[in-house]
Amino acid sequence: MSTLKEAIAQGKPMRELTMAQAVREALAEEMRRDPTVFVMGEDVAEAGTPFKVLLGLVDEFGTSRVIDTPISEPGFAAIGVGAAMTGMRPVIDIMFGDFLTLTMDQMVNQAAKARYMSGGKFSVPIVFRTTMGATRRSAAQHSQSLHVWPSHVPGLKVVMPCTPYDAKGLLKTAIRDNNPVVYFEDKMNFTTKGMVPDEEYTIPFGVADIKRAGTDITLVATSSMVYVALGAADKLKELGISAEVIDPRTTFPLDKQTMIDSAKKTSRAIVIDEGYERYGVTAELASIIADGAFYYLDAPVKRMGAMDVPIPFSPALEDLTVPTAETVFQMAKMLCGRA
Amino acid sequence: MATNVIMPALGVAQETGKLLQWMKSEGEAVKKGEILMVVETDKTTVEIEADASGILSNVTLGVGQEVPVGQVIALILAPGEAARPRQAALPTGRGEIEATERGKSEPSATGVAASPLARRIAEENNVDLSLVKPAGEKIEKADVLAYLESLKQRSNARLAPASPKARVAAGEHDIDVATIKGSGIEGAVIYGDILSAVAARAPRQAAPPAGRGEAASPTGSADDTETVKVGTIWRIMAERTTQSWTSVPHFYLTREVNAGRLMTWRERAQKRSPAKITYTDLIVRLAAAALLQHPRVNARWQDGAVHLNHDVNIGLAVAIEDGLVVPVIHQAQSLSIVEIAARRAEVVGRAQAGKLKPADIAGGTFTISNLGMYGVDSFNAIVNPPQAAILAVGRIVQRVTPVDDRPAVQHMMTLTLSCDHRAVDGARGAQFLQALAEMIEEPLGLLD
Amino acid sequence: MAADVNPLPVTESHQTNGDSPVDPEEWLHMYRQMFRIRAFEEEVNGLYTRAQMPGLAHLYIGEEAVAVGVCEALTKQDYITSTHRGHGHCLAKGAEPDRMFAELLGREAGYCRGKGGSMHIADQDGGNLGANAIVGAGTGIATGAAFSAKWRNSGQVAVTFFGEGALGQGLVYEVMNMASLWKLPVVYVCENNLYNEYTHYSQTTAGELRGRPAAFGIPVEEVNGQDVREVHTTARRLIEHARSGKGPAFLICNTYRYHGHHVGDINRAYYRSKEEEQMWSTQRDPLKMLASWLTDQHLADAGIFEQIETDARAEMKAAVDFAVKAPYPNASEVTDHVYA
Repeated sequence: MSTLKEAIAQGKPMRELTMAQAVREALAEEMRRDPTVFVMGEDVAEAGTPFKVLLGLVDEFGTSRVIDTPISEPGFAAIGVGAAMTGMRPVIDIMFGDFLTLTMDQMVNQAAKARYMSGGKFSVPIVFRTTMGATRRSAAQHSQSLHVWPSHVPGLKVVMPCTPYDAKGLLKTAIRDNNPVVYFEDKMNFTTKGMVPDEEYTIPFGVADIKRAGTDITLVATSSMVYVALGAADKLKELGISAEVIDPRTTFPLDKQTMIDSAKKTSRAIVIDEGYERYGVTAELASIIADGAFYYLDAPVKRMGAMDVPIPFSPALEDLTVPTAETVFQMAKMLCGRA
Repeated sequence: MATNVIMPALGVAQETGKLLQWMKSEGEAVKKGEILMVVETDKTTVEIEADASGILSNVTLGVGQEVPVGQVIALILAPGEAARPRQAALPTGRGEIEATERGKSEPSATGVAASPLARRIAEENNVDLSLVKPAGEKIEKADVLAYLESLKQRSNARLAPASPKARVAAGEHDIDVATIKGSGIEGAVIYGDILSAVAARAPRQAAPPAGRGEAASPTGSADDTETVKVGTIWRIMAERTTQSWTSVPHFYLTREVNAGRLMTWRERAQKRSPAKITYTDLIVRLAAAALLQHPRVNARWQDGAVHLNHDVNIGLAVAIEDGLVVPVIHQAQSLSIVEIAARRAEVVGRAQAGKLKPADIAGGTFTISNLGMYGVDSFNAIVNPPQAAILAVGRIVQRVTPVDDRPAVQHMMTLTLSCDHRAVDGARGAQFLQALAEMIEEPLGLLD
Repeated sequence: MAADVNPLPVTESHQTNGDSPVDPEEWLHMYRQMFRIRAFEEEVNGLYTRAQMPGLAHLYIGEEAVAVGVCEALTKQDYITSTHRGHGHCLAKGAEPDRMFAELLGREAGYCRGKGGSMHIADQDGGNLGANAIVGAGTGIATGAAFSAKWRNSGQVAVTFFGEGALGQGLVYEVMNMASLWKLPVVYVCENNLYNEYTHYSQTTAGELRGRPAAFGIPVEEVNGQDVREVHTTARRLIEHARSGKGPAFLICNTYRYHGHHVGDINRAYYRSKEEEQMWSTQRDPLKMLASWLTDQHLADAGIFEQIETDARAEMKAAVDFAVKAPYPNASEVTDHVYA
């Protein structure tokens, strides 16, 4: 039941949840299951975060397990790492993905390396839950998608779900994982609704989900860009072009094979991701596809990321910086020789 | 000096050859000109003569094995020459292994027969002569120049924009991407372009023949048919006609011609010739002349383009017990009737004796099939790829036809031209047929 | 007020022994521990200068009383975090010198299978959460370990050793803030050896050093870091303060590193004088100070000290011998331990 499609095929009873509800449910289930799990961050308790994702969690688990911290990202991230090394399973809430910059030493030099540096003696079962995504008019320091940073670092795992089903199953897996996991939610998707099984489930890392099957072009998209890709696929369908939309769901571990196989099948691929385009996730995924499917490609693998500028405030400018269904559609059309 | 025995390239499109039989065993003495081995090509089975006298040695190819053409499969050792160490033999040292490997894979350039001019051109252009395939016995200037040209084309092919997928497909179908107009980004050749190119020409590789599958299927006892075992020639005929029929877009042009003058011509020619002159000989002569005027019919469709052949090499469909073979009368355009007749007698004789040489069947550019002697009025022949057309010739028969508004009895003959529509269109085929018909009806203009 | 906002469970009272007198045998044991560290470091110096040890070697010689005085006040289950100058802490917390040398030489038998080396040596079983080569980073991990200990109500204390150079790092103050808010059982041990690498701390540290923990309401003690008795008795008190649920404490140990920042730091005249170095090593040497006190108290004599020295040097020689002969890790290990 690693995908919603499978769960539906198995006839699991379901209900509709928002992504925020799915995240909260995953946290609550894991906190009930394992007393060493706790949530720590700025305004996570009574406030339930500015996005209200954690609303109500403190009522069940109290302030000793849903812990408000000072505005002190390096500090509470470090405490999370130390706690994880000594028997706890912290879920560290980094309100905005942009603030990952403040926690870099904890994430990169400490959490990611403790196990290796100690020859396998230490484990750091910590989750950094944070956000990504622009177009909320939050300007340059609250809009970035920096998931490529942790993706770059050996020792870290990186998760970026876009549906309630994926968000819940992957967060539960992240909490149970004995490695540091950085878990990104797109701020624009918190109210996205989707079906979630009534029964408990987890989703293994490193298994891509084919969000839509197709034959003519592969659109590999991450997080909210999955919806952009699906929008483009709708438009392409009107031209008789069948697009396959693949959501890797985790950038590490990464399901390379599904992407490569799809590109082999369609001979064309576009990678769409909301991180900055240069040196970005798109570069890595495109290179993997180009490498693995080279002799099956009929066009260069194209990348579409966020424009290489700090995210501007003005809506008139900000909307230009991220891929849209229209720009993906145009690119796909061009690759298919229909421009 | 040992002589390499290679798997010969015997056809325009032949890539591999299969060894059917060694006529000499390893260590046995062989004389130059003796039959050394029997090889199966994509066209037929041929007996290959020894190029040199000596002892057959270093045989690396077993019966039934298939290798790329040009590959060395044995050596003929000069008298007194020691056998070269085999790869499998225990080497005494590393240097020896390397020497052996080198000796096998890179025959020294000085050992290649080449004209002094060819050698000089090769030297000036840094060409390894062992890589040049001579058209004749030894490498001439033209061979080296052709090799240099092919290198240029190859590098152009690398520069031609094409998608990786298209390149793979082009390789599989032996298509030069540089000859194809691309429909991809920046004019790149993409997979679809290759598919179109393949669809528009006869594939040069025989598809797995249906015949083989049938032969392999068990014939149940309840089956009241009798299974006839077919030979290699029959099997190849089956494969090639299937391949042509399923992949070459055929069309047919039929025309009745008055054969009266042709009959007169034959009688006159016969008087001047000690050997027998047949109608086929005359038609070969006339067809060669017509083909010179209509080169598009003396052509082949290949790599997405029409390639015109300079020479007119006319193949004759010859029925033998084992099936159909097509020996070729080369450069028919420059042969007299007597020469054509002599050549025809020679190759047909060899065909019927099952002794065709590789050169006898190679290089055909047009084929004539004459079933007149079997009383056939007319028929549609199957194009012989990669040729563009085949002429089916029916019997000469008396017909009542109107002449000057009055019925007259005349000797008529029906010609049917089968064309590969990728190389020849209806109008061009018709023009050729008209030219040929006019020549048959008034052959004296050509008389030599 | 701080107690009211503390979200964590109230700590049960844990047994403490902060006020009980120290057995004279324990002082002799501390002498032995200090001497073992010195002998260990002298072997490191030798290995390094003979080019038998790769990387960098930051020697702890001169500061032995801090590690020993503090660690002798800890149980095996208590946690420490250490620094790039961490061999002394590691030994004092109970690690074996043979496996330590093996680690320093990158051998599979090392505590970290040769993957950490001198700057990341760790001993999980002995409660050493690792030396850390990011200055100040150990304070965060120790505070987290203290958080965990408090949450699990395990009675463990975490001690973080750091140099005065770490006082320039914001992380130290962030975690002290939360440790104080949440009354975490952590003791911050500042080894003030006067030099942030090659720069005197007065050039890098504004105001009063003691004022920094004080700003968070954390009790501060300052001791002569060369006097192991003073270090130990104060550390015992502060550790038991933490263990008893009263929250963090801060211990400043004024000390001195005899050698350079690392073994290769030979010409040091541009940042400190020979006279200064000589004054510390002759007049404030922790071994001499303790030996002279033990002798005055008739608790030991020259023969005992000689025996300790002989034993320690033999132990370290054997340990080096073990490490030099120990095999390197198999090449296949390079991809092991990246993920659990």
